[in-house]
Amino acid sequence: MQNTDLSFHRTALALRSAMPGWTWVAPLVAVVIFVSGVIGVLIYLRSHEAEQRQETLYKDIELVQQSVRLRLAAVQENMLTLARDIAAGEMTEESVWGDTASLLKDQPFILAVAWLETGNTSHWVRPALGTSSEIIDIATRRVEDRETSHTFDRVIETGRPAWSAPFFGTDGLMYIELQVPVGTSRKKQGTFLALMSLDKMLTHLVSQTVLQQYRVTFIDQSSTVLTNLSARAALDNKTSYQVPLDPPGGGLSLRATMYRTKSPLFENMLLAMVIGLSLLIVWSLWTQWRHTKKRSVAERALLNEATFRRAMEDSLSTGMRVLDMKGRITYVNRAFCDMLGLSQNDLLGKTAPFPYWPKDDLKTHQHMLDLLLAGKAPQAGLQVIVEHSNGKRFPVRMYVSPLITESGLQTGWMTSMTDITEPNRIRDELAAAQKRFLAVLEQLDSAVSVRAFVNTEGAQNKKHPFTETSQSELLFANKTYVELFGPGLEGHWLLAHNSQIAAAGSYEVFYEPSHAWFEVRERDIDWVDGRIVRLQVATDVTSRHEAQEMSRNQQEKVQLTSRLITMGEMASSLAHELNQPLTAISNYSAGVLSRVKTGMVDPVVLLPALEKTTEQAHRAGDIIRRIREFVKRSEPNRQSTDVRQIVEDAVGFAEIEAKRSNVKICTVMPEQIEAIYVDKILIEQVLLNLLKNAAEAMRDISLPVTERRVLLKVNDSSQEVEFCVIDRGIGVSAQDKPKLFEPFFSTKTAGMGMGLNICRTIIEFHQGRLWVNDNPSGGAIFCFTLPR
Amino acid sequence: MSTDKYLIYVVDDDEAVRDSLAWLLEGIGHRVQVFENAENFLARCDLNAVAVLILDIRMPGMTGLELQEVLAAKGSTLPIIFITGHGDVPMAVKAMKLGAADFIEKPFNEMILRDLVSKMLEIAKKTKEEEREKLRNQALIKKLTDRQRQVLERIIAGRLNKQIADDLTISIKTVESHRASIMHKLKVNTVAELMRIVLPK
Repeated sequence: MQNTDLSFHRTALALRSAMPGWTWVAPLVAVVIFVSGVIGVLIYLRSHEAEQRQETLYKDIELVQQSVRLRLAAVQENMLTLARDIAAGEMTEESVWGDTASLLKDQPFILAVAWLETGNTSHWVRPALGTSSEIIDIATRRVEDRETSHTFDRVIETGRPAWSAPFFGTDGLMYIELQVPVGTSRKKQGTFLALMSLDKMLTHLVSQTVLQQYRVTFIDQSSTVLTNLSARAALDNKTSYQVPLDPPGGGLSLRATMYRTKSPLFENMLLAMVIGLSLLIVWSLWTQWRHTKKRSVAERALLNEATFRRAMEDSLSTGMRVLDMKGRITYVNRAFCDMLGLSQNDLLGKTAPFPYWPKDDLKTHQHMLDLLLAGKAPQAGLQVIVEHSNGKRFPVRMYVSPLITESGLQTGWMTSMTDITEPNRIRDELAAAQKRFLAVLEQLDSAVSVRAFVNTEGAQNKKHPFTETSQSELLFANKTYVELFGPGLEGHWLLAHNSQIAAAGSYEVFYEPSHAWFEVRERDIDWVDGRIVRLQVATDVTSRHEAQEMSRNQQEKVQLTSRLITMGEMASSLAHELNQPLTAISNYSAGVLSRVKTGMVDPVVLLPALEKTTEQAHRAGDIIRRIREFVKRSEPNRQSTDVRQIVEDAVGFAEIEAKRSNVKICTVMPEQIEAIYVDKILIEQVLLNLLKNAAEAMRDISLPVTERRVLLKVNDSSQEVEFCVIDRGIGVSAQDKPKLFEPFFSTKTAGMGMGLNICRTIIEFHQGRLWVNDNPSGGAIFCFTLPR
Repeated sequence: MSTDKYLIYVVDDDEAVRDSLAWLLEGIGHRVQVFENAENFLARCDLNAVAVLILDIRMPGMTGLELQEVLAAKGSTLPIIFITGHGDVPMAVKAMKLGAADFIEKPFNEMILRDLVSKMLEIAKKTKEEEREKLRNQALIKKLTDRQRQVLERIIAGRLNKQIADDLTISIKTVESHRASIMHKLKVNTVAELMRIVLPK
């Protein structure tokens, strides 16, 4: 299994790496070489053919040259003969014309003949048959013509026949003249002239086959084309040849240019086939490539799937085994092998007894196997003991299902095997834990009870399990509960919080029948059967209650004492403070008296003084009221109190003390502070104490006037209000700090050592905190918080 | 004495006390100027005026005692009456030792205050008078020449004309002539009067 897997993997890898690389270059290169070879052959064939054509052209045009020369030489000979006849005067005009006519007939390109006498006068003209009068006209007028007279002069001078240069006729065609001398060199009588058309010369002297194949033209010295017989434009300029003609000479040449022939059909078809074939090959290569790509994708997916399945199989903690119909093992998975400490080879192909059967219990196993093969294995599985290869035995549970192929044929049995050692152990431990838990509950001093509600329909209402219509049922009660309240629900009911929803935290209840206080906690919990039930834990706190009551009474006494002590300590300051308004009152009255005595009784003068006197009396009264309120014995009385009021009152008092120490009190607090729920007088006392201490601490410290101040900072947050008293005084030494809040500890000579201790008690009574820090710029910072 | 319009300075931080004191003193015919702290007083008072200072001993900022020290350092002869509270007697004693005129405890007895103020004004007037006379004498002495001053020194030392002449190696006649011109310049007739002018009290 492992081996096949590996090779499969390797093949896939090889496929994947080879597929897109150079494999595709070879066929492409082959195609390119093939196409370029074919194109090379075609080019070679074409050039060979062109060479052959050129060869043919040379031959043809030389033949033409030959024949033209011969004919023109013949014409010249004829003309000389005729000229001699004329000169001999043996012939009449009539007889000359007879000979001439035959010449004209034999040589149709001669348009006319004429005898030109010396002195440049035309003697007579004989046009060829069908020659237009215009041509004749040309022939007769030639005497005056420059070309004719030039030739005439040349012939007379040399006494030899001469050819004129080609010239245009009035009809736009090219013509040429031949003049031969008449008479002897002693007696020059004139010339005999033949007018020839170059066009006609071509048509009559060049064979039709040549004319069809080539464009044949006369050209002069400057390569000007003199004749143009063909209207066909397509010329193959590469296949062209020209030869000089003599006679007539004078630079006249004959040029032949081959007409462009249509490419042969066969050659074109060959080219098209080659191109088509190449495209076909490229296309087939492309499709092949695409196909391979698709295949490689599919292969990769397959590989992934196989790896996934393999991993899944390996990760299973359940052992899998397949038996064929005869009871032979045909497959086991890794978990199965691991579970038993055996390799696949130890198991595959084996029949009963299997190696993992305990040697002393073969019978049971054989029986189970028989059951299994008979298809009678129980649905809930078989529990058996198996043996690990190291000899350790453990319980397993086996489930069996038939292995059926697609065609519905059963090929064997699939067995799954699970090690149930751990679940068994957990179950045992849970049972033990349950037992211990119950034992603890029974031993608890608190009464624990659980009640459930079954409403009249018998169905559980999850949202409101404790509706009025529901009936209660005591699900659990521990020993203490039974001892205290008896086995019924009554105790639970009496202690229960009067609410549909379980109360948060604990509350205390006075239980009439036994005159005891109980601290009760209730919580809704999920019961073992999924119902929501209410758990109640009641602890007897009667003794704690009594202790608390006692301590509270003491506390109150201590607080009162503390207030009296504070007042005592402040007596001197208060006296001074009271002295101020009293002095003012006394002064005003004395002033009024002395004025009245001297007779100054103007009410306008006296009234303001009397008003001020009243004001000062009120001021004194206020001070007295504050002292009385402060010292007045009162129960702790928490009520919603304005923070600003507390601060104003405390600062008002403290300022008296501060003045004595030459210190100012500055207050920093938010504009708006929500009221807090405290005992106003107690908190004022704490604040006054701290401010007073702060001022006293600064008494003997020398500081600039602007820094002689105690800062009271009030911070407000959603959870609490924080008060900080910041001074620049002597500070608190590190060794005093831990003792600072202990009773009877004081750094002051006159102090009782109760102030800070009581302050902390008061703040803690309000669930707040009181602490001290060092002021970084010298002095101390006392802070306390009051929760909202 | 109550008809004399002399200046009374009152320095106290408590507005009511300050105001009522002014009211009381004005009622008995004094001119009163009030200050709420020592700094203001120092900035605005006239130390040359004939006046009495009624000063609160305990104030924020500069205290009464500190102000007293400052005034002494400035050479002021202003008589000071300290206002003290109930427990401030030891402090007042300290102030007296430093040369304060007197102190008065709150609340004030009008009669005591009135007498005290009058008494102090007297002292103030007398002190001023003496000061003025001293200045006048000093001015006179300044008019003497150096030689006359040397002679004067020796007269005051109780030396005879002859001895003076020996000391200064001049003739007795010259000493007598100096003596006459000294008497003339200092506008005195007897040696006793001369002594009073020259020797400070």
